[in-house]
Amino acid sequence: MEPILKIEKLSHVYSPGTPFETAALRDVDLEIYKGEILGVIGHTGSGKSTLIQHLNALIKPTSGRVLLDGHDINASKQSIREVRGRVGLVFQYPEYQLFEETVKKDIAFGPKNMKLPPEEIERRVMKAARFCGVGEELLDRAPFDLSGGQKRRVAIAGVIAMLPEVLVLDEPMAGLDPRGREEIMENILAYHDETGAAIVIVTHSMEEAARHASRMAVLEHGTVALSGTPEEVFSHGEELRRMGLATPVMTDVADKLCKLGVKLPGTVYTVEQMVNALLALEGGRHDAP
Amino acid sequence: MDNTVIKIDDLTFFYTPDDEDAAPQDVLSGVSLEIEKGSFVAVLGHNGSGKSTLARHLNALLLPKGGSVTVFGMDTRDEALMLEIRRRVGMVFQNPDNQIVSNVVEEDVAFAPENLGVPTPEIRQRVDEALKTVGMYQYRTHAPHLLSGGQKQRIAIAGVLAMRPKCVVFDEPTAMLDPQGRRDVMKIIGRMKNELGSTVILITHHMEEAALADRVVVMSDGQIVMDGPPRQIFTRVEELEALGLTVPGTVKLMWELRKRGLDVPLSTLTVDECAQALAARFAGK
Repeated sequence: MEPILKIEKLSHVYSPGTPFETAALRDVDLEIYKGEILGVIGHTGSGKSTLIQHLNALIKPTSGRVLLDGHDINASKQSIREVRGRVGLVFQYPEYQLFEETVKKDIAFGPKNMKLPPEEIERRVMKAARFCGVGEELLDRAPFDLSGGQKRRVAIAGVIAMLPEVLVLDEPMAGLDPRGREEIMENILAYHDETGAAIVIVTHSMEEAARHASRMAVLEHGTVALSGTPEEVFSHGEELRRMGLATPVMTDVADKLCKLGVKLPGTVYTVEQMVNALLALEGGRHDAP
Repeated sequence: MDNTVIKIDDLTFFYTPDDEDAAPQDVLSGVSLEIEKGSFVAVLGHNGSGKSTLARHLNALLLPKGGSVTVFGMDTRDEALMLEIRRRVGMVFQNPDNQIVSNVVEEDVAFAPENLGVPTPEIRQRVDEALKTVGMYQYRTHAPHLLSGGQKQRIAIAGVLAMRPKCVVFDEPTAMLDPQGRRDVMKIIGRMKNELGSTVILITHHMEEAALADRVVVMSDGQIVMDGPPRQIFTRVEELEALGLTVPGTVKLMWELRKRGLDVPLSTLTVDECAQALAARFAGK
């Protein structure tokens, strides 16, 4: 299968030629496929945010390329315009970027810039609002009157309204309470499930990466240090801790159990898997004569 | 001897609406709370529950509209005591970038004690001590903006510690940090409590962090709805979930197993406790 986005030998250097020169990304190769949920983890300063800003040409590679359906996104003004429509980027704390008088206008900002006809804009606003759990009664209110969680959902709806084929989110759940986190994740999953879009989600929560990602990439000092399924990545506990990261709590419990003489099959990284693994042990006993 | 360092009595607060005709909405309505010297109290609550508003009352950043807040025997409404109060109660916020003012780590840490008029030789001593407590002494001549988020947050904490406060309020200090940054901040809080005898109030959305506290206070819609040791609070799984909160993963696991009829203890707050309880139940299977 061909990836929708392909990152080839991507390097990015900030402030080149000055004493502050810093290589934020070094020779990064990464592919993003239709319909997958890619979890990106890494210590602060590992290059996660720099990487995702390359995905819709917000910043340009110092060297290397980003290909959308095989074409360099930075080739021309036209290709940049195209990638901005097809790859949607949600920044950290996106609610700080709300600025319109009403929720509706804010969500409509992106599609309006895409110069879509008014009825198509209206249709997309309603669709995006529905995906993000933004009720119709909120659409005419000022964004500033909403709660933190609601504002966050409006900001995400503004990107979803462009119906991106790749939706990229930088720590979309940061600073929210547990229910707020769940709701945002459900909104993102609803968009993924209904449209088949690829989702790229940057997170500091190993638990959330474990539960939702189909594949993970681990950045360390500007390079991809590990990638694979959550099961593969979380089997490298020592390395992850050395990189300033962690394994999910359930993986820690499973490791400890193993040391105490109770061996569970495979890598366990979610509560659900742990429950099933323990019930299987319990079942094993019942089956015995 | 009275060990109460913070006494909040029937505190009410609202923000004045921009629209003069609009009725103000209470953010805090009738909050009463006493905090003992040297304790580590975690405050949980959904977004908008009033946690941060409550925290800002503890060093007179906000003043009560009704009721009173007394810290170390001083009424926060007494303007003459404001500096004394801020000297005793320090605040650490979520975003380290907003809390750093200097281009050199040690100058940043010296900023607050300089403002307090501490003599220079003593400032030197305080800065070194604070940087050692947070494990950043070797970075004292570095530029803060080149450090990682977790390191910057440790510098911000050192800046507060250099004031030698008796109490520190942390308002979601780990929300923007990676797992290592979170571990470091929690380690510093432990050291402050155990080695410096500080009173620590931690506002957080991370249940695993709250599980380390002596006491957990849960807020909802401007009121305190639960108050007790974590081992007791975190067994109230359904009530917490109804409040938009959750429980540590280890408790959640036990809860799910018990729902399926397995006889395991519920309140295992740490990985070790959880694994040991499970090993006792599943050994030899």
